Amino acid sequence: MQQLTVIVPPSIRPYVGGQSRITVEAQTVREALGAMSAKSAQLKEHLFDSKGEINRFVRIFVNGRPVPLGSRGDEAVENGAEIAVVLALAGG
Amino acid sequence: MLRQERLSRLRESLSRISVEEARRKQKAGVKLIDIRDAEETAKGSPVGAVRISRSFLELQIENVAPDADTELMVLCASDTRALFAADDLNRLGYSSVHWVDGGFQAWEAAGLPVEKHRQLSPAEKERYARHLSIPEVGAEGQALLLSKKVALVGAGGLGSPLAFYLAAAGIGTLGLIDSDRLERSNLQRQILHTDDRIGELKVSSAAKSLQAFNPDVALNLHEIRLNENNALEILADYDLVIDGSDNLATRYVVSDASTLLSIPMIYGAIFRFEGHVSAFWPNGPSGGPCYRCLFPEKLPASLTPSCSEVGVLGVLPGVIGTIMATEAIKILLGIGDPLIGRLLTYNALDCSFHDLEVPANPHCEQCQSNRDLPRMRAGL
Repeated sequence: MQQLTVIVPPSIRPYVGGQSRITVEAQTVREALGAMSAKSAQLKEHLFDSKGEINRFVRIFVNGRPVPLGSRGDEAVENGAEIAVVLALAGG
Repeated sequence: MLRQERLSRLRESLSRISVEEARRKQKAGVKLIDIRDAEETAKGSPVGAVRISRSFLELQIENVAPDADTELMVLCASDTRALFAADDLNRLGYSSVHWVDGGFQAWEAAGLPVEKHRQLSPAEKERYARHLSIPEVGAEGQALLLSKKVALVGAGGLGSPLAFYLAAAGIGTLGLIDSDRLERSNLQRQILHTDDRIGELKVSSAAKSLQAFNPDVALNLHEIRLNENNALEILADYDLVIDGSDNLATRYVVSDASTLLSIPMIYGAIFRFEGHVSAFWPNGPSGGPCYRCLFPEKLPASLTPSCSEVGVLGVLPGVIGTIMATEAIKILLGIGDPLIGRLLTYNALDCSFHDLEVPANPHCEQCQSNRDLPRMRAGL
């Protein structure tokens, strides 16, 4: 199984042991988000809506390129890819 | 006479162009170089012309025409200096140089468009000397900055470095928009304010610091919280808006208003050790997204803690705010490659930057709508 790196935004880091980068085994963005939230139903709720779609306030970038809004994240991702999960920051 | 003989030879050998033809070519993108001295161009210059004094022509021409095959048109008051200058540019290696017959006198007589440029005072030349030495800024760019009006939403963490560096850069007018009063806990990062001003309105405190720092900058103080009802009226007077606010609702309001007003928006946000920077100008010359294209749906409150709840490293807004100020200045000057269509993320703990591509959302109802003008929406 290929390995991907997920860059975790600060507001959901508590659900992944406080880590800013985690390594997951996955073939697609969807699988990577699933693996990342496997141990936390709460994190899964933050990432996916009730129909299993990626929430529209969660933006995903694979090696700096955006996963389009509305995508289910089923596109294959190359081994070693860096998946950045980006949530809005409020502070100023 | 030697001069007359040489000029006659140059008239015959060099490519002559009329002012009307020069204007047509200029509209098609060919560069028109006005080589007269600053005292002459102060009274007027062809609109859009690049002004490089004859004395600095060979030294500075490559800044505007890096390739030897760039087509150039040279203009002086009538034609004498333009002939010599065109000859010199040919010798320098430029292969397609025209001299404009009749020069600026003929340009004006033909009723072609003219623009006047603000001249820097001796004190301004001294204050901004390090800008004047940079070809990408120079006297023309500095005069441009001095003519610009920038609105700054928030006079806090991000607003502090932003206000200082924009004032330092000589932005003509800064509008400060903030309704908060200064608290002691702000001073760990909000370097615009001072301990003896705790309890004062932040805009008043900011005005004292900025006036002491650069008294030439005009300040508009808006002691108000920006919302969907007042944003258009407040921001209508500005050339660019910078979002240094501390909540998502205001960020959506700033985005909607800047899109409706067709002005660029610089965006920055922070959280503990991390920050975001981007620039939005969907109806600007290069298009691109708005804030709603990046975040079409507001983050739930449970994932949106503020600095007061989760804390922030005091120096972090310094890093993010100075990048925002840099992007603002780049856009105002029209130089470099701004962060339009890109989101820059920064993590101070591992000192990493990520440059993420952010295209416009073709379904964005705010900036990509084909319907009549979209309305201001509540900041959601």
